[in-house]
Amino acid sequence: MKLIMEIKSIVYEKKAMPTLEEHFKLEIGEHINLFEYTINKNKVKDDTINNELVTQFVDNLFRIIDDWQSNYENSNLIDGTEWNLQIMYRNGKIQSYSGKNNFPNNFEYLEKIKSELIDNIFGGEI
Amino acid sequence: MNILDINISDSLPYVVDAFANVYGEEYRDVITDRIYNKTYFFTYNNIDGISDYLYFLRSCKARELSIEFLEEIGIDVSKYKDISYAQDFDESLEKLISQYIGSYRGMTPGYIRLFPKGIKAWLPFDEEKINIEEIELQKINFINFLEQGALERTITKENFKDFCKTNEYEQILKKIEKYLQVFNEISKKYGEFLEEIQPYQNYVDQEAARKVELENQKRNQLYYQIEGSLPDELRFYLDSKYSTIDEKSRAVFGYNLGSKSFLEYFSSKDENKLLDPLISENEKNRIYRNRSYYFVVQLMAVQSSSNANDREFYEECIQQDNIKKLILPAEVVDKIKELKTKAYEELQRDFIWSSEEFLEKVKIFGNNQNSKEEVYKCIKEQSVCIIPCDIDEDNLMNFLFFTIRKDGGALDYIILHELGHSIETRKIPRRWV
Repeated sequence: MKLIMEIKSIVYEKKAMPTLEEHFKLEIGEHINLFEYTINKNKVKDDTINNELVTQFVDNLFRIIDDWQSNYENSNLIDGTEWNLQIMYRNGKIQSYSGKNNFPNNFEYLEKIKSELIDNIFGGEI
Repeated sequence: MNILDINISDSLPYVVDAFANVYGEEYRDVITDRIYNKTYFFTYNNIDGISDYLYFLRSCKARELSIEFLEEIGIDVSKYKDISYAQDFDESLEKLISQYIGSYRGMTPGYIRLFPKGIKAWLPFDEEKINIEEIELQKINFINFLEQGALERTITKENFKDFCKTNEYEQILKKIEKYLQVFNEISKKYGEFLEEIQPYQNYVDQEAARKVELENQKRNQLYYQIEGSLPDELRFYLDSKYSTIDEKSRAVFGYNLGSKSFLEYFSSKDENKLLDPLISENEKNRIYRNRSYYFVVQLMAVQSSSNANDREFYEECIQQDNIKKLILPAEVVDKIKELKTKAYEELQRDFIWSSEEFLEKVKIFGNNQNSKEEVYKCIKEQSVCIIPCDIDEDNLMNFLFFTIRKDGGALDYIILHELGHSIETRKIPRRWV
């Protein structure tokens, strides 16, 4: 399973500030024993992370997105923030959620579980 | 005054200069008027944005210090002197830093213990967490990198121990000790920077704690609200197992009001999914697994046959009478879910409406509840935008809503962008920009 979360500002061009976008990518190996993530383009591979931590993250993720629609958009705003969440399954199926200046009500939890996962790995050191 | 109050008044003359430079000096007076007299700055803070900004600031400082480290140990960094610390290093610099100290982020003692790369392999490490063979490998890699052909042989795992007894190693060690002294100074500077930004971290921590406290209150209120509709068996069970309302409410609703609880997997929607042939086995298994969690984690430890999958385990559980009677009817779960969603919305609202910052800032609207509601919506959505407001037929005031969002630190760029809208919105009909 592969998970890509992206939040980017559409106030400025991506090319102008290529490194300032928020990008979180999580790849879980076949037996959830290889874990790879990218935060602001710093790719880290970790084959020591325990399966329990990743399973917990994935379970939490599905508990958060359970009622989500596939798209959220606020057309009253001209520019602002776009976000995208993709879950790619091993069988090739892609589950995708996105939005522009509008978010699911519980969007804050997505950041929370991501931070918890990273804190658990780094002990809050980054 | 909140330490996080964003005050850009000192920068406004430069903003006017910048726009006059682009639009032309003949427009300076118009630009000045629209920025000074027709724009109302409504700045506010949010936990996620500040938290992300702190991460950005730490990254910038770590990049700056890692260049300083290279310079201090005698590497020519003149070509990197003018680079922006707000952006990632190029690949060659990233690699160079990585060879000496691992990631440029690794300045804190905890991180060093986790990733002892480059010279950090000679620092004390936590033997419980780090494999000694890994440390040895890092030492070998660093020595080979440092000496790059100056040694008669390449150091390998096989000859490393013997090499450690040589004078060559003694000389290398002296060099490494010197580098480590420099690194310690750099780490100290990083620590001082962390202290400097600690008040902002305190804001994040305090606000996060305030939200948790409010969430606990809401969850407990919700429990009292639904307690009467729970089957007697479940209520008696919860009373016998838990002594506090906190424990009972968590057992029923989970920790987070905005996240689906284990109990909610017994809803009609999920029941229908289990009966739907078009729903994938994966998704069905997830429902069974979460239902099982309800029994195992929230209610009681259940023994299972070791090879049971999610569905089999769930079915084993519900064969047991003492467990079966604790399952709520789907319609009760649906009702709980509805109330929980409402409670979560109230939590978000109360969190903002009870903040000192919000109460202070909406004072300008007096008793105008509609305006306060609009402001609340903007804050909830973390909006950064211009909202034009007609004061009278001829006059328009632009409200510039600004918060530090997850924009990777590009604050000046974004506020200039919004001010650009404010200068230009005189003819645009009511539309947020």
